[in-house]
Amino acid sequence: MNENLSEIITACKQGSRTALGKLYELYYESLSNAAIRYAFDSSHAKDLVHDTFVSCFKNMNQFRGDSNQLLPWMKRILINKALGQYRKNKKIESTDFVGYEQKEDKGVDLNENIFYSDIILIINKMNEVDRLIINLSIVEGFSHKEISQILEITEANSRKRLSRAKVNLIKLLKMHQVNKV
Amino acid sequence: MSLSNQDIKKAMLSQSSDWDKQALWQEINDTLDQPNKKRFAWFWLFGISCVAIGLSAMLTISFTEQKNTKTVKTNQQTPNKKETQTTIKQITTPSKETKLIHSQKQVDKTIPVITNSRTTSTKRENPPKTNVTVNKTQATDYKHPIYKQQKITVNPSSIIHKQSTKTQRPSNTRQTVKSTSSTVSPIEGKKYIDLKENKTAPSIQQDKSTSIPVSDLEIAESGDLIPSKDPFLVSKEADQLIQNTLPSSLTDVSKISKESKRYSVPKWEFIPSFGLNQTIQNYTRINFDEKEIAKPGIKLSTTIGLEISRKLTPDFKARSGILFYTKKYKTQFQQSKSSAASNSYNLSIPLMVEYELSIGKINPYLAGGVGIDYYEPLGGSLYLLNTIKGYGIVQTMYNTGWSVSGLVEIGTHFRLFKQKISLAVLTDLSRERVVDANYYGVIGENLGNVSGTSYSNGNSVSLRLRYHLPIARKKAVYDYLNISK
Repeated sequence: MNENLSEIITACKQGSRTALGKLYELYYESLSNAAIRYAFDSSHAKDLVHDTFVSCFKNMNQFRGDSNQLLPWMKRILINKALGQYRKNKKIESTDFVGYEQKEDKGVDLNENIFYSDIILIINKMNEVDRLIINLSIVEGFSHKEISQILEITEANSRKRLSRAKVNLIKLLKMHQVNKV
Repeated sequence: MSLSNQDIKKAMLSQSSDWDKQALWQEINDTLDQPNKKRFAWFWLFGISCVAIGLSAMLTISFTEQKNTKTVKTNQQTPNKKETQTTIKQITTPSKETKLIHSQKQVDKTIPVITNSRTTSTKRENPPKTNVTVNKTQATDYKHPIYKQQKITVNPSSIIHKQSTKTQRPSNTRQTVKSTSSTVSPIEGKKYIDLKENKTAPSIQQDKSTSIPVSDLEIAESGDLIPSKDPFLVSKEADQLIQNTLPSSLTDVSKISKESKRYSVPKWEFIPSFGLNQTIQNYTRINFDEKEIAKPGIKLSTTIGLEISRKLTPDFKARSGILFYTKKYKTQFQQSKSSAASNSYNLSIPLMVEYELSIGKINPYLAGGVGIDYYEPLGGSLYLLNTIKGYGIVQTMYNTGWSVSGLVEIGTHFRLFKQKISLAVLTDLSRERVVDANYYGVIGENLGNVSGTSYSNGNSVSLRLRYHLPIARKKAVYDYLNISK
């Protein structure tokens, strides 16, 4: 697999569109899932994936790592693009997540009948910065120092916002549960 | 209720998209096939630079011509006012310093007077101490071409001789000028010319019909008279001579007969143009499963141009510049029941030669040459709707690149409100390469195939109205004279 991926990378560097097609097949899912988490609506998520593949193909010559580092590199490009958009439109509110489906959410019961879909619904309704912090910290595993640099906030602020976001998430989940019942 | 980070992570990672994977791939391909913006920018930069250089060159030429015309005019006016004026006064130069130098030259060459360089030229640095001798024999050999034609022999040294006989110059005076000699005149023992006060030699009579200032001839190191490096410096005096010697019917451009009017065409012309362009596109798809030829697609569009022309001979002109025209067409393939539509623009650099005839009041012309074309999609590029192959989508195709086209133009020049206008039909025969970006657009089916390539013969016929802006008219008389020879 790694050998194949190396060949694909080499072919992409030479400008082969076929190789890019194969790369698209391999990483489409990972990147589109990541895009959904960072985008503020479905069209923005699509644009992120589109721009990421185009950027990767055009700048493949700048990729110096081995085949295992390709996906993180592409993800990083995607995140950078999302953050760039966030910096441009800081006032954009997160709404309109129509068009997403939960692939594993077939009655998965967490604690006290909480579903993944409920968590996602609440997170998507949260503040843009809080959502980004949850993504960067919990999903991607960035440290608060890194998050503070990315979002241009203080480290303490990042920590405080994450803990508040989690508290809010639980509160909202409880309210949501009550409403459902 | 407890909610761990792991639960949140799992929830977030459970999201997936429900987009059309193939559609997105198609969009990515389309974007990658878009023309390179940087390359496009460089192209425009190059184009604009070329136009700027051309314009500045034209302006420089125009400015030089105007400047020279002014000088000639000034020289022509002087003898009318004071016919008895000496050669020194006839030469009117803009600055005092130049005037002084000119005057000194005149004195040095025409009057066998020894002047002191300290009193005459304040800004000259170390005048040559070596003796400057005017070689009589070689100076006599020099004849300007125009003088030859009119059988007028201009011999500066002989003029001096005539002057000297008229003024009854002492016979012992020599044709040698020594810069280190005294300022005393050998005639009366007085100061002969005070150049500081711009006084001239009182005793010298000017022979108007034959005199030519020696200032237009330069003195070589050997002492020989040679023509000035700038041929126009001579010709402006020649112009004056022609004005004085030839009948006014010949020298006045406005009085030149109708038959010779076309010879008064300016040497350089700046030609903005506007036109309507009819594209007839014969479109052939080659790299697909089968070869398909579409019906010729015809559509009307516009063209604008900016050209410069230069007269090579009285009948031939060379022309170049930049033409911008949009190309539109819509066509249909019979076999696959698909249709194609294009909306692109061409930038063309024509290199043409024009042959002009004179029939009565109109001057029809025939021009031919080649055009270096750059074509680029404008807005929608080329769309191909292919229904038979089952794609069911509008495929975008890009026609971008360079081509060489053949140009043939038939037209006529005429005058409208005293302005020179031309109406012409320009036929452009070109061949363009079209890349079908979406041939490999369907993943899993056509992935790995090369992109579809097609060729189209983008022939166009344009009706163009051009305005001729003259840059230089100065050579008109000489051209006429050359022809009359």
